[in-house]
Amino acid sequence: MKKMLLLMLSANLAAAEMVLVKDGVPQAEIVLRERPAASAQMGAFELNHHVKMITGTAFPVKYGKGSPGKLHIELGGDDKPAGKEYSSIRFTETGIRIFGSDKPDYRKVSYNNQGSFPGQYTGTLFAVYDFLEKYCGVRWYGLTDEATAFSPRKTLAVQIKDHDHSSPTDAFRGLYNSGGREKMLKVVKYTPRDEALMKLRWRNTSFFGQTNHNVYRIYFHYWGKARKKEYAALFRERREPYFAQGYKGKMVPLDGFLRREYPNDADCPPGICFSEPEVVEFFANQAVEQWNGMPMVGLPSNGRYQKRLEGKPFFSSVQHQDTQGPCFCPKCTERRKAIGENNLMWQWIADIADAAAKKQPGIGISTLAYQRSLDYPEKVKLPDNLCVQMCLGIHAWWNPEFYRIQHDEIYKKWVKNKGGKVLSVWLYLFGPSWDSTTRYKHKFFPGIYPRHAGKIAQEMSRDGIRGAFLECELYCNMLTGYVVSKIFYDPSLDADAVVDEHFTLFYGKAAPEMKAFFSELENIYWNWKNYPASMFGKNGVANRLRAHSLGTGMLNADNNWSVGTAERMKRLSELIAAAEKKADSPLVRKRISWIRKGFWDQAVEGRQDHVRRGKVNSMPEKNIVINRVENAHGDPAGIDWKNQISAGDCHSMEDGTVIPGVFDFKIAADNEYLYFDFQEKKPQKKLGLWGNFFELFLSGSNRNRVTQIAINPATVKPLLYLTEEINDVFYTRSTAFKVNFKQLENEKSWHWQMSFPMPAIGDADLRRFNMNFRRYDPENKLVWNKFFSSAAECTSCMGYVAIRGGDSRSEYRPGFKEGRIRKEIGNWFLNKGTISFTADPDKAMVRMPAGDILVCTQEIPAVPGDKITVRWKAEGTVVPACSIQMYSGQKQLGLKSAKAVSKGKNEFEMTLRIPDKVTAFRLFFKTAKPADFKFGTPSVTIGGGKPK
Amino acid sequence: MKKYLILLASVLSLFLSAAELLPALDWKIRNGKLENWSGKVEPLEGGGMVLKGQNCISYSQAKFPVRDRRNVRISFAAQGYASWMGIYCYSNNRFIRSFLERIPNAEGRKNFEAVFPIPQQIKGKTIDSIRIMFSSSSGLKIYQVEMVLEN
Repeated sequence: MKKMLLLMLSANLAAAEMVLVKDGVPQAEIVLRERPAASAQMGAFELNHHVKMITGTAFPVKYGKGSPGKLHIELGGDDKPAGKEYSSIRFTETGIRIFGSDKPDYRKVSYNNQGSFPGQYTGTLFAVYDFLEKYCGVRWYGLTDEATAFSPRKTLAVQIKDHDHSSPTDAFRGLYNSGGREKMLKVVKYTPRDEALMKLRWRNTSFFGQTNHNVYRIYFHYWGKARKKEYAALFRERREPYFAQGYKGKMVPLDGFLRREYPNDADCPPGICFSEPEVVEFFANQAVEQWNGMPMVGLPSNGRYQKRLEGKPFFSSVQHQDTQGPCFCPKCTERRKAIGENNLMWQWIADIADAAAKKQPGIGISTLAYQRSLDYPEKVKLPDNLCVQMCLGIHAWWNPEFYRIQHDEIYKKWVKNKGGKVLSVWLYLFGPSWDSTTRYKHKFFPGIYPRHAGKIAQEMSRDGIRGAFLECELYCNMLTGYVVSKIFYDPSLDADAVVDEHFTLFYGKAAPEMKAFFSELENIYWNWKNYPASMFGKNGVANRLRAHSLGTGMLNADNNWSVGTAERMKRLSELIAAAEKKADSPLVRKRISWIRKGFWDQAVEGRQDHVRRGKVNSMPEKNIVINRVENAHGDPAGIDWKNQISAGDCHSMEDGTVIPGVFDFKIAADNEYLYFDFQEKKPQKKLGLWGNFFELFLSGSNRNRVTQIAINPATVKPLLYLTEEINDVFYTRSTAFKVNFKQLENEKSWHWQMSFPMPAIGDADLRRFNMNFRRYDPENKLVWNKFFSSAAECTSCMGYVAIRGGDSRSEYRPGFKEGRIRKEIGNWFLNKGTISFTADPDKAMVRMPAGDILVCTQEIPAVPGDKITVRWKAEGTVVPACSIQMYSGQKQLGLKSAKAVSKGKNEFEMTLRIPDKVTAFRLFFKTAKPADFKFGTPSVTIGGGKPK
Repeated sequence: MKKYLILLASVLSLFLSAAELLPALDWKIRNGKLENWSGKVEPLEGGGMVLKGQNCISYSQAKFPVRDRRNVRISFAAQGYASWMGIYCYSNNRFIRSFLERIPNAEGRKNFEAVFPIPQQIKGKTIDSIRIMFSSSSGLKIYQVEMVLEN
């Protein structure tokens, strides 16, 4: 009776509320068990932490029994080692019971040490979070307490209403800050503990099926002794057939984890063989060992190995390297030809899943549908004991063509064919920030999309997606990460409502302006009509991204800034300034400053860069032709520099104005080396490297592999960097190759010479290479070709240097391709006759009446003096003669031909030299008599020209 | 009343279908000339003849608004050699750019289907309408031209 009276006194029955703190005085106690589980201990810490933030006071914590006459907030769950994840809140006669699915883990939790925080089965803790959110109005919008939204009040009354929740995303819910800690620290100071707390508050957990790249143990067992002792001890013997063939001596990129173990191993393959039965056996056995709880030396955590939990499905994760290259063993090559790489990989996974289940019923295999294995494999019968984690770049689903590919044709197909499999997702919550950071290195116009991402998460939840791992750039997409995390925990929430309340709760009086700012950003970013037309259609960027999970690479500086118009930037800047003006507290001003520091201030600078870029890039592209010289064996002093060609004038980085005669930069090449000579006739200021420098960027046939050489007047040994694209990300690292460098003068003027072997820029045989350079000193910021702010951006900003003469060679095969007219060859045409496809993609049927011509539309670049050799096959009664149609820029220069020689049955060859002024040519066949023949796609070899 | 019903049905069909079939590409003759085609084209039974010679271009009289449709599918039958077809893109009635494709030579009448993407913008100008065009240096007979705008 006394208890009832107490409850009646404390509870405002009219409003069905229970008063927990009244005028700053706690009316309740937290009651923990004598031996509370870690989840309940953490729940008590978190409850009190937040109640203190709201009211200025905290609840006393009691163990075992609470004090008579007080409301009791009992924290403690079922403490079972297994079962469904749930969180519950019950209002009782004596107070509130907050409980859930807790693990019987009774270690002591220290609130200051994130290492002691509970991980799996944290039902009571999550129930506390539900309580704080739903009953006390707390929201966690970021990493620190300053990002926690609540209404401070002296009296805390909560509505009397029971609550039960069990998330349908029951396999895992995870988050990774792919923007990096360093960038986030520039926005807000936070500790690893803050990050751990945020993840718990966003209800991150993991039970089964989470996957990451992890095929490393087979290397430690059967490739070679790893560097780390612990892994080296696993080595049994070398079994090369287990690994992808065709990479010997190539020093190909490997996952960082593996390269660290085999740092100098040039033979180490980037993947494994998908056709070797013993490899299947290895991973099936590994799955059984994991089922039995055996130690997994050589498998790092982070989703690469997850222990079996009682009462939950078990999936052993098998995922090839991020750098997986195709295996070129005869069997894989043959199977790839028959079913394609995607089906080949999935057949391998299906085989492992079948083999593992035969050894131990109940075992499943989890893997990623990622990049080349993203598409649903139509030619493989997938077993049900699979957990497939689809890796999807939803940040780019604004592009309707990419959406059609990734959502309609890939994601929905997996959902349709789900069967008994578990489906989960790895979502890339990126945006232009990713492209600018990893690829193009420009300051970006931001892409913010919390509403769209929230709705996508809801759809996925409706489709039965049971696991979600978010890769999010928190420094600019914190809100998107928050909304998606919330929806996966509780899909019944309305995404728009979650976004809308954020502004009211977080920005106070500045809410309308901040809401308008974010809404406008999202409307601009997520509207494909704002982007250039060149991004869409048959040659649109989305069509190149079919086997591309990340969906990145669409937004180079031009595409990205096409939406960040001056007018929009002005309006958005006005909104943020108005919000700052209306901010009613230093805290709100600080929160707005996070937006500025995170992405807005750099966007304002990025707009200015974009204007500069536009001015510089409107200048004509630089292309020069140099003569190949006699071999000088790498000695720049051996070159007759007076007779070499200069790169010409540069233009200002600011506005593209040509600044003539600042320096003279000459380039020469022989058959082995490239040579450079730089002279600037003015006194040099002694500044640090980046205060006064010359920087050269070079690439060969692979434009995305850029060698960067930095020199200043004090340089003894130039700084060398290599930028390479690996799975969509540009990595820049120091590199080393043999450079002959000599400073001849560096005070009254600056004169240096340099040479290095041609293979240093990627090609052993060079006829043409890409180049750009910049010269910075206190007076000038000059660039040779287009504006760029990094080596990665430079990949698309280079001019070229063609080398006349020498022994170098390139090969072209134009093939037969469909044009805009369906089922017809579009890259060859005739005046009168016809050309049509055959079953063999390398052959076409051609009918030519007398006097007709057959022309290939592809223009092949050439250098005067080049020797070209055309080889082709033609089976028929009459065979046409080959010529080339020559061009100088856009201008036609006429035909040139030579006598073709027979090179065996139906095979022909023609060789000729490219005359002066020719920059490109087309293949041209003509016949004097009617000809009806099967035409094999010609090949053109260019090179071995004479110097002028 | 019947008229209104027909009108209503055609309006509804426009809304209901994802693709939009464009009218006014028939071979009606008025004053001896093709009513719906401009340029160097002459009537032919059931079609048109694009004349032989340099700059012999024929194009649809109408400019078709593209709204948010991003592809045009053109099916046609043709007979002739050394000919091209494609679309002209307009912004505010101003010609901006053309996209052309070589028509495979056809000794007899042959059916073709071409798909052209329609850029939303070219040189910063929004493309709001298109015309279909044919050109030939040796004469081209064209029949049954149908254009469908697609998303």
